[in-house]
Amino acid sequence: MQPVPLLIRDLSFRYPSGQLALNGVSVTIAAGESVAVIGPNGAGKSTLLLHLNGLLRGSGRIQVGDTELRRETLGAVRRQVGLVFQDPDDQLFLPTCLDDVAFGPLNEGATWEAAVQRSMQALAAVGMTEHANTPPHQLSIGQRKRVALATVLSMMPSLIAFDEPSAGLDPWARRQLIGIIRHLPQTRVVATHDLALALETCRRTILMDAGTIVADGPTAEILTDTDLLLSHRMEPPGYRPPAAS
Amino acid sequence: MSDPRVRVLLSAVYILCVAASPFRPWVRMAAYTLVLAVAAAVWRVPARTLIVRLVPMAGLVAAALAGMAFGSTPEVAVGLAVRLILMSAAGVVVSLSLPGTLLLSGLRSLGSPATLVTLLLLTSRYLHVIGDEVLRVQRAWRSRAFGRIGLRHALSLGRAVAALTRRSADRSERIAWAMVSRGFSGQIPCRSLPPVRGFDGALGILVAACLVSMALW
Amino acid sequence: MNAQPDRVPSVQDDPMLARARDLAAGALFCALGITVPILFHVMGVGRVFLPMHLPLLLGGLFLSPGMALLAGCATPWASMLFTGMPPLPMAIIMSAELAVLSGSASLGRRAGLPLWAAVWTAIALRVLVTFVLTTALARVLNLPPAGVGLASVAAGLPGIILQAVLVPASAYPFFMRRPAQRP
Repeated sequence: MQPVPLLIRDLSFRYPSGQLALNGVSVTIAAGESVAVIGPNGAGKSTLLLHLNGLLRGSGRIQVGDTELRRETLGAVRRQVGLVFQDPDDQLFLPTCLDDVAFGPLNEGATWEAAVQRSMQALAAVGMTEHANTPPHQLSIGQRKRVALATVLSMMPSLIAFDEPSAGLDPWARRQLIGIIRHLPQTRVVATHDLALALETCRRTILMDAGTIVADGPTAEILTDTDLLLSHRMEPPGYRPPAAS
Repeated sequence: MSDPRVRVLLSAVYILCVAASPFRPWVRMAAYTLVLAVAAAVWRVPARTLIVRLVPMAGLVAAALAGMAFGSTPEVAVGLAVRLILMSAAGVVVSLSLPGTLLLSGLRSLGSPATLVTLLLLTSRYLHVIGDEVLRVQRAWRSRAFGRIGLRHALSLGRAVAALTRRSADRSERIAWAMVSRGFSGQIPCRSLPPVRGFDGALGILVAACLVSMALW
Repeated sequence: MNAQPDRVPSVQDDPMLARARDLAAGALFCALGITVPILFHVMGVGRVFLPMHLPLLLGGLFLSPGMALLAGCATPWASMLFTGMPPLPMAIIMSAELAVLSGSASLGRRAGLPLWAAVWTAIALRVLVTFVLTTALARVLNLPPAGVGLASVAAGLPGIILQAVLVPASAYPFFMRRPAQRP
């Protein structure tokens, strides 16, 4: 696994309901870079992530490493891009954690033994080896999020996209997850409302609103630009609204 | 006899034998009951759960006995009721004796259609997720409704079920995304079971032979 | 992902996505078919409303015919496996009923019938299957076949009315989502 760069050009997408979710998005992310994508609800963050491995197909161009995303390269791109969903119950669909983490390697053609070996390594990376044979519904949401990440790590992706990784986590579980995300060697794209998490895990931040990129720069700069954030229905960490007179 | 394939096959043989056997002599039914009791004990099936799961049979047993009012002899009616109970109990015993996933792996290696086993695997996982959603609907309902909920609420409850169904359809989309993004290739790979151990196989054949000879007796 | 999971254009390019969606939806409707009867029971609203039928009829409108048939067929067995209900002989009857209900609703949709027509046809076919199978069971139990068949259909009338009214109304907005466009 080598981290890969990501290139997106003029990406637009409209949902069947008619809502324009992405409108001419262009961005380049370097190999190994960790980038936060922030924005209010409906800004297009999750929709953007779903495009990264071809789950949604808008107009425009996406290139992961040297591979341009096309119908015939779907498999190759999906092997390189791992998606960690917001709700781990969407990602963990098999009866035990090990079955789930081994799902990807088995689909790649690994033998059961090889898949188990890779799965145990992935579970170890997120500190969940002792829960390999536990059914996901017996885990806390924090643990389920970590196993969901392991399901992606077992495929040894070059780029990992996280959708709201800290949603629903208590402070302790959130802290553990931040520690894991920070130390991953892959290129990372983190879509989040949690600006403090963005500050800790990403040096660069992209602010989206209404399907377009409205700001792109160092996280420390964007998160201290109170006017910019407030004008796009975001609040800087520690912000206190002026008292009503 | 720990192999799920042997257990599933034996329960199928048991059900067929009980269904094919006449009620007389009653000793045969007693023997079938004894076999089932021994299996439940050896496979450590909790007696209380077994009984609770057999309670829904009461209606059907009552229907079988009601046949007496329409010209059925007591012997035929009772015989039918006993056989219905034994057949159901066999299914319940084998399902309680194994974890669901092992049972499904057993079914898969016995040649059950892969799509069916995959469907049941996913169902077993999402039973808990959907169960939690249903519980939330129930709590929300109770927090806003006072007194006993009756027939007149059926339409509203039906609407809640329709909403749950639509939400499930949306969830299925996200699950599909998760499956495909990890290389889903049409079927979910299942853990393969090791070959049946000689002892398990031999014991299974012996018990099956006993059951068949009891039926032919 | 919080993105709106509308029917998106990738299915044409990606048959695996369509297959995965069908399997996942089939499993979720199966799980609903197991849990909804428990909800009705706990809430004191009885089995006369045929609670297991409701999600599977709705599911039939959403699933491919093969998966609808399989989900309908498998739900009573899965329910028996996980909860002990329904008992074995009833599971056989319900399996056939639900397979017909869900499968014919799906076929009706694929054949281009309007929603209400697909639903009502599926309900009518299901009633026919219920009558035939309960008549057969009555013969086994030495009960008057026609009486038992009619009684079993009549006992489910409140459920039939609920399905006939509710399912087309609930499904309509779901199927009215506009087709995908690219800007």
